[in-house]
Amino acid sequence: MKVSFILNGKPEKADERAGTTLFDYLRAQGLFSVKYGSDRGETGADSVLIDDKIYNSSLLLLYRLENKSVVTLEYFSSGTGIHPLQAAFINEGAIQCGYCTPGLILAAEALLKRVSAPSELEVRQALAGVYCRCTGYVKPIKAVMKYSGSEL
Amino acid sequence: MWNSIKKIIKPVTLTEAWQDKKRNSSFYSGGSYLLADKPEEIETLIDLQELLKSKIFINEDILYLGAAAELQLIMDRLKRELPEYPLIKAIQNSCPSINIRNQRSVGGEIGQNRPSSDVLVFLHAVKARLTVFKEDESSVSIRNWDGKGIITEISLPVKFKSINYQRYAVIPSAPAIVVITGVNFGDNFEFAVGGTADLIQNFQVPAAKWNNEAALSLARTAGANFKEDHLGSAEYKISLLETAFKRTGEVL
Repeated sequence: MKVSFILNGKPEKADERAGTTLFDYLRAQGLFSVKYGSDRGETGADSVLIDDKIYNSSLLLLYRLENKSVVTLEYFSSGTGIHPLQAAFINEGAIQCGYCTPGLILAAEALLKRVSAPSELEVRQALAGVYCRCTGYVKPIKAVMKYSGSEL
Repeated sequence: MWNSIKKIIKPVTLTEAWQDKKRNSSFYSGGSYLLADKPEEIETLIDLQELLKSKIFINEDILYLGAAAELQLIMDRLKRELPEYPLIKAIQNSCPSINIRNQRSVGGEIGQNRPSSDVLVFLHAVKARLTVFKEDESSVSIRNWDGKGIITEISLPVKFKSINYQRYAVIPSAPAIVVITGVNFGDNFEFAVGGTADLIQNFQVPAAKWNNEAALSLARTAGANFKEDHLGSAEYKISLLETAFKRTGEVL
């Protein structure tokens, strides 16, 4: 099936089998920040932003992306350096194995598009779709709060 | 990759969609449940996204939800307009992941008919009505729906004498072992019970006859549909049910 959408700021045209998920397609394009967690959306390691909202790419069929804008973490580093939100995660030591980190950063970005100075509860709820088994969420939450200028 | 999918149909009308429904095909709206399971027997998806509305509005104390309205959209709207309405918590508990709430439609949540869904238990308790399309559109109570047809709209009351929602789970983000919503409609208390049971059960008790004995009796009746599993014995679940009924009744 043919589909046209915006991928990381650039027009993208795809012609894939009907059952192709967005996850399959992104990995095939070499966008490896989108990780395999499960096929069931249980981990959020496969998170992407679609029109500024967070979704699990393995639960979306590619053809549904017509005219939408898809962002993966690669887009954050496509300028001259890393995104300040990524820097905030580094500065707080909010990364251990790093597998879930792209999903956590995209989830935080989706929240900050809606709420500029979120509460801790709002941050917790926003990150709840991405499983992190290393950090216990303490440092990622701190990173998002500090980045947004919110008080802990 | 969902390998068994060979074709995706985008019908222009609900009549066409209903006629397209054949063996080895499935209606497809939000798709979060379908894509998670990827059943191999499904070869054709009938995409309803363009046909179903996601409109949410309140009119004369009735909340109307287009079947395609995503759970997150409903939560956001209710938080603004009815911040105390327990459906917000039921959605949050049914689906703790915002990633999935952004995708999952309320129609799909009903269509899946999972007793562990806090949302479904809530809709049963408040006696939500469904507009369902088969050959034409008709309205049916969620309690009487036979599971056939295309849900196009859900309507539910937003004002009650009182309402209470209780759930017991291993951790807040886990599916409930026991979930109960109770509603005081004036003369009667209405309860819906779900969780690790085989089905959602509905009970009605005259408000004047509510006491601890009634709570225990309901717990035993409802408990017959809860089996022993890794989460606990049947007796343990009856005990949880009794506590949930009592606490709900106290609030009502």
